[in-house]
Amino acid sequence: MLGLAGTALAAAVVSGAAAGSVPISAGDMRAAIAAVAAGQPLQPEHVIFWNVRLPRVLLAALVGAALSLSGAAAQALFRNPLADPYVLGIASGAALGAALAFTFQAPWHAVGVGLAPAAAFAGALLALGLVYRLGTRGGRIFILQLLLAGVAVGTSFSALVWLVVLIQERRQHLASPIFHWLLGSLAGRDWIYLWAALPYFLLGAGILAWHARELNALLFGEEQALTLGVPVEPLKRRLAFASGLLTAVAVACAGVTGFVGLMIPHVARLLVGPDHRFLLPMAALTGGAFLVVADLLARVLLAPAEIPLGILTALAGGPFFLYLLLTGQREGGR
Amino acid sequence: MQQIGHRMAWAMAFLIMAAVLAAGCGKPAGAPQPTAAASPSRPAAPAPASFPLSVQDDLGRQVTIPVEPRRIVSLAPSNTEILFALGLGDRVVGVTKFCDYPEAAKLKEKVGGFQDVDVEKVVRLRPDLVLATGGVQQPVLRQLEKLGLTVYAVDAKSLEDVLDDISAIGRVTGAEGAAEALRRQLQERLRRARDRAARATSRPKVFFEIWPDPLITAGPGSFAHDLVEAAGGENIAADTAQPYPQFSLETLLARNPDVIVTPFAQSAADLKQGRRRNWEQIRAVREGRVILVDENEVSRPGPRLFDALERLVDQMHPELAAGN
Repeated sequence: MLGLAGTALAAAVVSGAAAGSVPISAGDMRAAIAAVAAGQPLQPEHVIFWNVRLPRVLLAALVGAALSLSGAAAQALFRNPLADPYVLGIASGAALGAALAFTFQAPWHAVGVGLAPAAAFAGALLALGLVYRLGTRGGRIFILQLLLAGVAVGTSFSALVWLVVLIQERRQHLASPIFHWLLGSLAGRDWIYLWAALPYFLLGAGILAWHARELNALLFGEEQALTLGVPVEPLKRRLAFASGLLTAVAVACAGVTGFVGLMIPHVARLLVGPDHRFLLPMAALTGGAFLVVADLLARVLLAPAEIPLGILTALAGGPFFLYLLLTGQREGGR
Repeated sequence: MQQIGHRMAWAMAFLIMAAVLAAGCGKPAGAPQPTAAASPSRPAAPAPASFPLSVQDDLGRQVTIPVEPRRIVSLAPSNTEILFALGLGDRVVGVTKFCDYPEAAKLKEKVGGFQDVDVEKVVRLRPDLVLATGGVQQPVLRQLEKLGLTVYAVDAKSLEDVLDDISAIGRVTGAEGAAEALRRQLQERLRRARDRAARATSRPKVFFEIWPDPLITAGPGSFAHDLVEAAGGENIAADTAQPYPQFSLETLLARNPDVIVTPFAQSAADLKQGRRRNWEQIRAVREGRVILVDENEVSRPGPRLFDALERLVDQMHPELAAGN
């Protein structure tokens, strides 16, 4: 099953790299890869494939995997099937950071990444830190309190985002970049973003992978997990941190892309069952493949215009999720 | 409860769709020709209007203006600029917080923004005419009308519409003379600019940057697009069906524009100094043909659009300067 998902991800990446608003032949792709491998300068016609499309497709896979892992961890942590990566209010923190960045007239490329993604990442970490502190008392995480803190912080930050949008309505169509960002997009994300995101992704995913077995124990409740010898408090702290970090990096790169983190863990669960040792890699692979395909559609459906990614994930994800739910239930009832 | 982010996203999806629909409905199939009302007054020298005056506005509403307006509230920077250009500045008693041209407009009472018009403040100013725009302002407009105010809306979609709106505003304010003079002058400048653009030997491919990240450009239905085309350029985003679409970077690189127009000094500097990754290979960047424009000038349907047009013609066609 995992092999199948891996193949699906590979197929998605290849088709994502092949298709786009500008047609690129297989020969061009091979030539571009050969040129890069040989360390030669890129021909202009290869720049589109190598510098624009390929890093974007790979980043889509990373963001999809990050959101799916984050969602799976959140669902285990809160023992709630409706938990998703945004439950900790992190997306709203990121949105506030990005919205503030947009109030500056133009972006700032001093550190290689744009000001908006950098500010979004900072905002996400700020929200995570705030929620984490509010949900902790005496070194212990109280799950309900953490959840409520997430909702409260998220709501407050959302309100601030709207305030920023309204205040800076000074220029007539300035609101629209913020809308586009909030609906999610991977437009213009090149290698630097991939390299910037990768360490955080590996750290978050690594923590979750390391604790996959203990996540299973947590599903039975904290007391049972304790009796099974799982150090529950450190585990909860690491889960909240890893889930939050994965969300932060995903939102910083791609804006608020909804539904992936809620849906993909359930899809993975229907495919491989609830054991996190299989569930986590399955979620990462299917999530990656799903977002690569969604981004492909975002790029080509209205080409040369682009559709915000979040619209597509929800539009494609909703019915697909329902279908899986219905067929899965029938099979489960056998 | 966990989906604050989603809810916000959906609210925004709705807003964008509404905006796209509104823009889409506005122009092409354009049900009622918006400026039909102004046309009758155009051909001959207009007879001075006698009040009360009953006219149709750009939204197709029949508006009766009881007396020649002495206290005017303008709900758009473009309207404010037209009123001042017609010499009616001293009759303007209220403007939006965006109305920053000419300087004197900044001293006027502020009545809020586009959508967030402070209705109470407008009423308190006791205007005998509220000069509004269409689109997002329509709910406010209805509200003001219910409160017994006289509301006239202009909603220009093209350069020619702006000329018609100048006539229309002149008519409803009893300033036809000034309006016709301004209209004739602008019409002549538009004709000359087009002639000049037609004499150009090149038709450069132009990319108009509205926002760099996410990359947003100006498509059909925006004044930026009209300006580029009127100035003798070819907008590379002309095949997008939206006024302000998010644009594919791949397509931008493939279409390789000769000229990039941006309203941001930072963008212009970044592009001229090769600081924007992957853009170095674009012809406009290689040849340093990046034009910095005034964002307000190119987006407000008022007299300054024609200033922007004249400058764009020269900047997009350096060969014209050499020839003359």
